Amino acid sequence: MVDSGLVWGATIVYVVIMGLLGYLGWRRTKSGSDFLLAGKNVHPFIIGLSYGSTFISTSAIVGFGGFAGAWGLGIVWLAGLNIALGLLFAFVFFGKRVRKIGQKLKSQTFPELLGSTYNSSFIRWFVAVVILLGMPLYAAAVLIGGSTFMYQVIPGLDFNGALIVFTFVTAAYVITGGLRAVMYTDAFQGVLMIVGMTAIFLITMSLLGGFDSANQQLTNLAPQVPATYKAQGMVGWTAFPTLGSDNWITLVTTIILPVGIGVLAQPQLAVRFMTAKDSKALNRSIPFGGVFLVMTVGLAYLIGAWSNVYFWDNFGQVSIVKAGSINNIIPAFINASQDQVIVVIFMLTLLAAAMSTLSSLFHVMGSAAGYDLFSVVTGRDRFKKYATTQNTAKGSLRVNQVATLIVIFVSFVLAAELPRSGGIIAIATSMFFGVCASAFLPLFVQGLFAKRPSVLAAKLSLAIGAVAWVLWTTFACKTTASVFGVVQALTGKPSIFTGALAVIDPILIALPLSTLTLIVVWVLDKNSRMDGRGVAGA
Amino acid sequence: MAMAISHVRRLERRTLLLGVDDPWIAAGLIFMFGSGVACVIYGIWKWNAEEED
Repeated sequence: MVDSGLVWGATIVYVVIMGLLGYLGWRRTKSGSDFLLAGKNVHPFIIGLSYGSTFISTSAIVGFGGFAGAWGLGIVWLAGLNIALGLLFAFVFFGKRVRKIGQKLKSQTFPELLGSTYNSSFIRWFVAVVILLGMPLYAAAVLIGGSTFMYQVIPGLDFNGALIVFTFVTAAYVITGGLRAVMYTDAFQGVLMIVGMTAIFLITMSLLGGFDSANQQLTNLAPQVPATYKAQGMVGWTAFPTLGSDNWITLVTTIILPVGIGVLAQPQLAVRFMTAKDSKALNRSIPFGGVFLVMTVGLAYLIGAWSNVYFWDNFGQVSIVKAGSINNIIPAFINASQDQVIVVIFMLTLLAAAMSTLSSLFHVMGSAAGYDLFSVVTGRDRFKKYATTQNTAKGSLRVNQVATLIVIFVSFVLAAELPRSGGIIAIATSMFFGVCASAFLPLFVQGLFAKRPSVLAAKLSLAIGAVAWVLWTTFACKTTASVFGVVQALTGKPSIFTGALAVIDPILIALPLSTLTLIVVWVLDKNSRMDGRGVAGA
Repeated sequence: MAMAISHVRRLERRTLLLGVDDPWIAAGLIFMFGSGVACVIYGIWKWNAEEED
């Protein structure tokens, strides 16, 4: 049992530091522009760590780390994709274009960037609506993950109490300090996550006799794979599942591809590119982000898988049997194997992971409602035109703050009402990454790179990608359909399909459809493509 | 006993890299760590590069 004084002391120190950084952000936030883009001169170190810590939430550490514990190291491909595609490729090929176009069009949010690129109010509000419909579920899942661990570790706190404290602390600095406070706290939380995960990794590695030895022992555990997992295609923790098996399909199509590709069109990540002063700042932030991702997700997956060796040696059970559920594997391993100081550091690591992601989600939802939708609804599409005086700048700040408060409340209610079991954290994460990729990625790429982009192609691709994703998610994919329960209520079955079709992730249907729509319409729409107005050609 | 030792030796012989016997997993580990190293190298390489904005 962890000493309650140690837990409370560490939590209080953590909250005080968050408060100080939030105060620093608040002092420097004077206008709507400050609230939205942090003055566009953020230090590379902060950009890199903020990008990484926003990207990585509790679901990556506890959810996917636990997945590695149950299903093995195949998931390291996701970590590789996260770093190579989600960070290096994203910064080099997307980041610089986003920053340049955002600066040229004076865009301050992801919906405004896409709307301005195509000179289309429809695209702007549609993107904002997708964010406002899809993101609260993701935010609620992150809230559930953080609150669950908080109440398990902090003595005298129940789930509802943890949820209230967690929401309140995050809301306080997001609403008052905007993106400055979000990024300052992200950087601190990023450092904390690196320190925490590195410490746990080194201790685990020394417990198991080194890197190669840990993997070798894990390899030798292959005969202990549970029978139900074997039936689904698992052959060991250091082996990729059998090609085409249920386990292979889940790993590749539900986890590696949606999360690996989906990161390229994440609004809360794309907005980070617009906070850089110049391309040099973006280049300089890449090493910080890369190291962060290796030291957090990379190590979490290894720790999750290696926990099997520890549990087998000490309790004669593999992780999923000992811990009882995927989400409990990493916490159970830390509690069983580590000193109480490390347990507390891990608690803070998870709090930091959840809070850094959550604050960015709150901020993006607040700006989508208070800036993008508000601008379209009030006919102020070119918001910056009236945000030029001190009073209007303060007015825009106030609108953003009120909108952020509302979306935080919605996320809080969702988190209180949603079921806390059934892998909701990983499912909701994968769902949001999937809808972003399906709806936004094709028109985002066209807007950034096409010399003569087609507005019609962009609009149709956006609409078809979003609708196809919603339909497949609600009716076809049994994992996601079970979250909504519509098919279950109507037919008594988890999906309208059976067999392989029922396990295909929505992104594998919706993204090809939206991409194909964009290409076909772009080819047909020769006469009304943008020319000159299109920033991509400029 | 002899069979068990022979089994362990067979497992050890199959090990390719980093204590892992499946090339897909070994490649995944190399991909993951290699991508991290690539980020560091790229950032240092471009640290002072002036790029057209």
